[in-house]
Amino acid sequence: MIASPLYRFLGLVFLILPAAFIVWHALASVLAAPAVWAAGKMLTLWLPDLVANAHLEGTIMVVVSQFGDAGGRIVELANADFQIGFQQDTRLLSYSIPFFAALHFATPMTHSLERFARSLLVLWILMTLGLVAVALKNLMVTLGSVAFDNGALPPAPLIALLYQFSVLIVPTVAPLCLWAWEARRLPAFQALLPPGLLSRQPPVDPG
Amino acid sequence: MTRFVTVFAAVLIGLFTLEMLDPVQAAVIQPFTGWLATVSAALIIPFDDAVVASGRIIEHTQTQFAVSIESGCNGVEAAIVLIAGVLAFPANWRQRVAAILLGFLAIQVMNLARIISLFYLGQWNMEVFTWTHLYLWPVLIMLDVLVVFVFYLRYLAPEAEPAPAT
Repeated sequence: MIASPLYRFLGLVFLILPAAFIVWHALASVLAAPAVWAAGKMLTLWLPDLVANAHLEGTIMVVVSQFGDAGGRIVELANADFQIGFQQDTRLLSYSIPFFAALHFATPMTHSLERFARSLLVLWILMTLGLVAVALKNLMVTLGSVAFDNGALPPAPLIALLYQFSVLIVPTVAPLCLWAWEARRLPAFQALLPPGLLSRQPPVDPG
Repeated sequence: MTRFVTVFAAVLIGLFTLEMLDPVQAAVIQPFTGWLATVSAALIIPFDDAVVASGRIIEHTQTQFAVSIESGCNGVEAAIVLIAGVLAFPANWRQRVAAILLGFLAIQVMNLARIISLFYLGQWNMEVFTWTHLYLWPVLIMLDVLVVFVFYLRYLAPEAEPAPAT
C-alpha cells in the first residue's frame, strides 16, 4: 500500500521530466538571464580590477576580464592584442530547473505555480552563486597569479572546492532538497513515506 | 527536521571535501574510476569485441571513439548524497551500513548503464551525447538516489510504527 503512491509519483516524474527538459531547452537563455545578470553584477562589484563585464550570449555567459594577451603573455589591456574572456555554459547549472519542475508538478498541491515561482527564485540564487564560482575558477586557471595579485580572491583550494560543489552537487541536490522542504507537510509527500516516520525519534543503538 | 538538515549538510560537505583531496583521489577515487571503466568494458565485450579499456578510458577500436570517466561520472558524488541522507536519519548502525552498501550498489548499476549508454550515444551523435551526459543522466542518477532513500525509509518503517496499546 505504501508503494503505490511512490510508483505513481515516479511515473508522473518520468512523464513530466521530458516535457520539462524540452521547455527548458527552448527557454534556456531566458531562464539563465536573471542569474547571469546577478552573477555579472557580483563579479564586477567584487573584482573590478579583474572583471570588466559579463553578459549572456545564447546560453553562454561571457565573462570579460580586465587583462589581455600579447604574444602568449598576460598583460594590461593597453598593451594587449586580445582581451581575455571566458565562456561559461549556463545549462551546466540551470538543468536544476527542469529537474525541480518534474518533482514539483508531480506532487499535487495548492497554489502550485506560486510555490514553483518561489522555488525558482531560490534556484536562481543558487545558480548565481554557481556562476560566480565557475567564473572564479576560470579567472584562477587562466590568469594564474595575475588573478590573485589583482583581486581579493579566496584561496585556490577553496575556489576549486566551490567550483566542484557548484557543478557536481548543487544542480541535482538543490532541487531534491527544495522539493522535499516545500512538500514536507503535504499529504502527497507524506504518502510516499511510511506513516509516523517523520516524527521518529533516534533509536538507542545497542552496544 | 533541523537535526536531519544539519547532519545531512555537514556529512555532504565533509565527504565531498574529503573526496576532492589529492591523496583520496590518488588512493581511492582514481583506482575506483579505472575499475568502473574495466567493468563497463567487460560488460560490453560479449556484445561488441572491438572495445578495450585502459585506465579510465574506454575505446572502440573500429570507430576510434573513446570516453574518459572523470569526476562526476563515477557515481561517487551520488553515493555521498545517499550516505549523507542515511546518516542524517535516525536508525541503528547495522541498518545504515546495509543501506549504504546496497545503495552504493544500486547507484553503480545505474552508473554502469550511464557509461555504456554514453559510450554508444557518443559514437552515434555527439550533440545527443553531450546533452545526455551533462544534463539528463545526472538527474536520472539523483532520482535513483531518491528511490533508494525512500525504499530505505520503508525498510525502517516497522520500527517507526507506534507500539500497540497493551
